[in-house]
Amino acid sequence: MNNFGVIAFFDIWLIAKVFFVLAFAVYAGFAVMMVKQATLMKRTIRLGLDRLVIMTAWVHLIMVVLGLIGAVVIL
Amino acid sequence: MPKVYESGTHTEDTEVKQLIPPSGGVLSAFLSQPKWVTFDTAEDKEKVILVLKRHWVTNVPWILGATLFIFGFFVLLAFPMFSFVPARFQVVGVIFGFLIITAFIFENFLNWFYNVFVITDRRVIDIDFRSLIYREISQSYFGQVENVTFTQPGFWGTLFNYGTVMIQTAAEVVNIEFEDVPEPEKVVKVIISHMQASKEKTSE
Repeated sequence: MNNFGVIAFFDIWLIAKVFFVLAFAVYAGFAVMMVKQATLMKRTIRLGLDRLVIMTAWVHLIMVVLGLIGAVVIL
Repeated sequence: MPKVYESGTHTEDTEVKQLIPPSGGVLSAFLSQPKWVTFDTAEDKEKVILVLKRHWVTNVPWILGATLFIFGFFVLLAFPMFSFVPARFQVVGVIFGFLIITAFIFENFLNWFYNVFVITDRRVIDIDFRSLIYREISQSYFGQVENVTFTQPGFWGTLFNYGTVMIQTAAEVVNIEFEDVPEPEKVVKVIISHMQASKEKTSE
């Protein structure tokens, strides 16, 4: 019985890890789209904060990629 | 109707400045004669008169939502209900949560900041970003504009002086709506004076 319990416990966290990695991967795709969106917006009209907006979008993407790597390595 | 603006005359600068003096910083929803604003479909020597965004009050719902989200997140962290979760999962979960909040705030800010209405000395332009990579740009030259009206519905619109400006154009051209813009009455006056100037130019 004990062995079954250990296996079940292990599986739950493995599933959780896969879930986190997948969530980060999907989210990374969204972050890439955000960079594209910010670039398109900046190309359409320049309103004065464009560099900051593009920089924020890139920093967000980098954070997400680091989060994805972290999820793979730490978990 | 007093002339507010007449393109190409000596009264241009003084009269525009009387009604809408140059004002507003980069975060203003009512930017008058901003020299730094340029757009990709601008024509040669086209001058930007007004750049309008939705009134800042319209941002309150999502700002409140983000605040509640952050507050709820910390409340959730404070509860011992996740104590059975291994620390490494908790760390990754917190990072993921904060990234989601960052994206929510950034996305809402982008929607407010870049969905703008531009009035130049030749036309009105409505720039809409409807999804992540889809944009819609509607425009109409003053010669095509047939009627301009504005509505200021509700308590908040009257209190904070914002409303929707509706620009009716010739049948084959799309109608344009500037939604929830500050000082709609001034906006209508500026557009009407441009329409008159355009008609006078055509009849000459």
